[in-house]
Amino acid sequence: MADSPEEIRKHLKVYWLIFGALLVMTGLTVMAAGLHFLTGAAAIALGLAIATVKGTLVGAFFMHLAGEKKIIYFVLILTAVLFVPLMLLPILTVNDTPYRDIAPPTKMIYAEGHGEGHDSGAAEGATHDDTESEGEQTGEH
Amino acid sequence: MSQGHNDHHDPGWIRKYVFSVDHKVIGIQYSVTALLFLFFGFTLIMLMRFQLAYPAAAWDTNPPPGFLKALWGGFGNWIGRGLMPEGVMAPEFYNSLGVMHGTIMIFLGVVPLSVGGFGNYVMPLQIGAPDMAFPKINMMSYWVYFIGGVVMLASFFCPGGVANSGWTAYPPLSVVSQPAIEGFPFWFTGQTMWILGMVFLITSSLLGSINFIVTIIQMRAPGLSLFRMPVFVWAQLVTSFLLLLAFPPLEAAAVLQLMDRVAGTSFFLPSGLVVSGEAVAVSGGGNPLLWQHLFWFLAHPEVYVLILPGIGIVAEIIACNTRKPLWGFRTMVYSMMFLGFMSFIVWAHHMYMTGMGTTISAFFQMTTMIISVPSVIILTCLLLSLWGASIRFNTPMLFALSFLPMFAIGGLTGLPLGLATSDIYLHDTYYVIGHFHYVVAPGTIFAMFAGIYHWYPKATGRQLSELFGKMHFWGSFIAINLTFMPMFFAGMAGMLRRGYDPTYYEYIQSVQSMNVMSSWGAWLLGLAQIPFIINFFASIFAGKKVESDNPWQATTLEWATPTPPPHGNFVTEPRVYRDAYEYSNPERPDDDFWPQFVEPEKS
Amino acid sequence: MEIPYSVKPHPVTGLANAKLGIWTFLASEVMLFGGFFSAYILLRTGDPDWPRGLANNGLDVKLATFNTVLLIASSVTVVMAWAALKMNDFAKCKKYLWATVALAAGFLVVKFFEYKAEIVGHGIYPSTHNFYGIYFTMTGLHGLHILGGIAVFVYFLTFGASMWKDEPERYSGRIECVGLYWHFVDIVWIFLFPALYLL
Repeated sequence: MADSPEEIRKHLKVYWLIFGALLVMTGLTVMAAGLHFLTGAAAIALGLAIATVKGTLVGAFFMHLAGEKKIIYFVLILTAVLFVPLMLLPILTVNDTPYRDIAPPTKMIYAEGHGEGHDSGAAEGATHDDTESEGEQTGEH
Repeated sequence: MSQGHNDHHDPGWIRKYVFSVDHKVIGIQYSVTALLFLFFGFTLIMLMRFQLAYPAAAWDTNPPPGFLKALWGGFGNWIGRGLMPEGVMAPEFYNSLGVMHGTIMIFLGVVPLSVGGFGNYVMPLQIGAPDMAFPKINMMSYWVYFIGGVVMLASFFCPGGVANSGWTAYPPLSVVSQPAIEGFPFWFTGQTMWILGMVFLITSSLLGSINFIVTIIQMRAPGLSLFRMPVFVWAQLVTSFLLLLAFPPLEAAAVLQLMDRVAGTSFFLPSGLVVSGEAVAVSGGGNPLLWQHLFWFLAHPEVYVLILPGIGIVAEIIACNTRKPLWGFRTMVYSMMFLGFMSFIVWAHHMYMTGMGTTISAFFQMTTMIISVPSVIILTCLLLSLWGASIRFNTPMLFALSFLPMFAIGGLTGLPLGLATSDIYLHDTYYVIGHFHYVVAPGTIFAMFAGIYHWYPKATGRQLSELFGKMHFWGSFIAINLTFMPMFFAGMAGMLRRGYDPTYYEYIQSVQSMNVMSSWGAWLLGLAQIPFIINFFASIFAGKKVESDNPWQATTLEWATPTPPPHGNFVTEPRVYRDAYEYSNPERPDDDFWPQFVEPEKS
Repeated sequence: MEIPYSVKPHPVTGLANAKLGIWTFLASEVMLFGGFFSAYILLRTGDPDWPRGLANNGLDVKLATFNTVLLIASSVTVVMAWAALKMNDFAKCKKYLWATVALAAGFLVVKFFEYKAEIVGHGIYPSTHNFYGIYFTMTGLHGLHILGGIAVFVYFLTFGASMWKDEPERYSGRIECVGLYWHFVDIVWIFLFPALYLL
């Protein structure tokens, strides 16, 4: 950063403003959760939206992302793009249920036809247990 | 973070060779440690192969040759009754060997060798940098790796045995197996040590990848624009991004599994879990699939971490020994970038067997098919580079050339595994083992051998013997195919991948000969390494001295340094004037190579 | 031997090595906490009895809100310290950095009492329920990050302070990097707070 002292002085005011905004939003998010005027998904969405705005403020002003070099943007955008599948794909996989709902007979055949005891497979045991617990969970929803 | 001062005084033996901050010393430390680990991991598999070829239960019909039986008995006596009761390998011990073979080969052998070893030694030289951007962090990443290796090996001495829950450590097995033994600290079980070791190894890779990225982006010599960088440097750059972004989720998963094992949480344990007829006393509600997701989020990019540096090395050697520019250099670079990116969204093709829904499985099948395209493009570019060349068949080139068909076999046999229908049959059979070993063993490890033969003269000032090198190559090439080719047939016949005794199942008894062949291949492969080991150590003292700094007449920057390169690498600050592979340039009729660092003649 | 661009910014990228290094490190940290958040989402959606926030799960929202304020304030003091350095006012920078350390230590002290109240007071352990498991794991890891930050701040205030006299530019580069790390730790908490205490 090649900012001159004069420019930095101007920034100081912005930093205090951001500080105020962050405090207000912290209060807001606690109040919103406490008032119960939103429930379920909407409450979660609001809470995360406020957190995202707060995070963006910290990033943009305190971490000076508002005017950073290209290569840093590149690294961060790449990270953000890969962050999305990390968040989404596991949950999408677990919730992709059509096959699981019709699965029980198949699963029983699988369980019976599977040589227990002699087979030292770790993977089979794990996946097998799991398929069942997943089936139960989706049944409850 | 970085050393700023110019210190000319001699730093002393320990600072120079043990706790060195010089990237070349660290690279050699990495390489030697990793080669030792590779050798150790290979020893483990030679033991397992005996059990697979000649399971004791079937000795009446399928007896091992006398000398082998005697050897085996001797080994059984040496290792003790606990692991080999009555001279027969205990199933738990067999499982442990499998775990440690996989873990050691991948995380302690190939990755440290290809990234830590070759990347550290060659990459800064190829970009004309005096060292890595953060030399002290570089040293730290080696020592964290070293500690990780020691912790991993400490697993062998834990009460209750070595980690034996598969190299993928799938829960619930990996959480409920090997509970803490009374009288020992609860950390001190094989599987817990395995996880701790992984945490260290991941941290080491992260530190390394940050260093690589910053070095490649910031410290290239003047004139070395991105597209003048050799393929090897590109490969290291993409690899570093993979390590940087794919490893942390596994670190998170390792911490969660650690909590499951030592703090009694049940992140990976579902409600109502029953083990050996008894309900497990945990709060439950966890999800074993979570581990698989986080694990494969790393482990699929890891596949490309294993192969990309190998591709880089092969590209260097092929360009140098065909005396031609690489065919489709830019295409290769773009393919590598695309490959790196796509590798993050294909991971669940390892999980078709988990009862995955059809929609999501269609998505992963599609991305898997897409990712095979850039791999094929890279391979095609390398093949077409050979067209019309007068090839120098020296040892590094032989290894590099054999990489191409071997990697192709490995890659093409992967396609049926990327499609759910065929995968459901082939998954967890020896077919999978054959497939990924073709990618990693005759693929990556051959590329590593090629790299060792290629850069050894630069690192030591002496050539490796060509005669021993060719013995090593032909022996390894034949033996390695003998080892892995039968696995495809055994696998297609349905032989289970983690099975302890293949003769137990009637339906695969007909392919037992495949197991025997495979085992003999593995042992021959072990013998074929003897010329290499002799060559590697003897040539340090007795190898033919290289006459010039550029014995292969290559064009890239590492050959501009004195041999071996001193601390600080370059005598004069290097400048780059042209592309990386200017061989047989028609503008230079007298010379068939035009190094990047040679100043153009003024006309 | 001098490592190029360890202090002066690179003419093309406009960055010194350390700054690019810390940003790539933060990128990996994003993925690390991403792994935990992914686990959180999967476990939460798979469990109909997931304890909800705001006292329903027995966590102390008041203390956590107070902690949030502490951390946000510490972020401000860090950026102020950096600005003071840019204006060549080392004394002021030191003051702000010590304030940061105090705020961070305050955070850890409050966290300690929170843990104590949960474990001793309510008998809540990581093994009680996956929610508490993930709560202890994530806040614990976040606490370790805070501890690491404190260690680095204290180092640059004591043993490392002489760097300001010898190489002021390098010193302010270091403070900027620690600052970036610290803001990141703050951002992680900004997401942890609603995820664990409120929702």
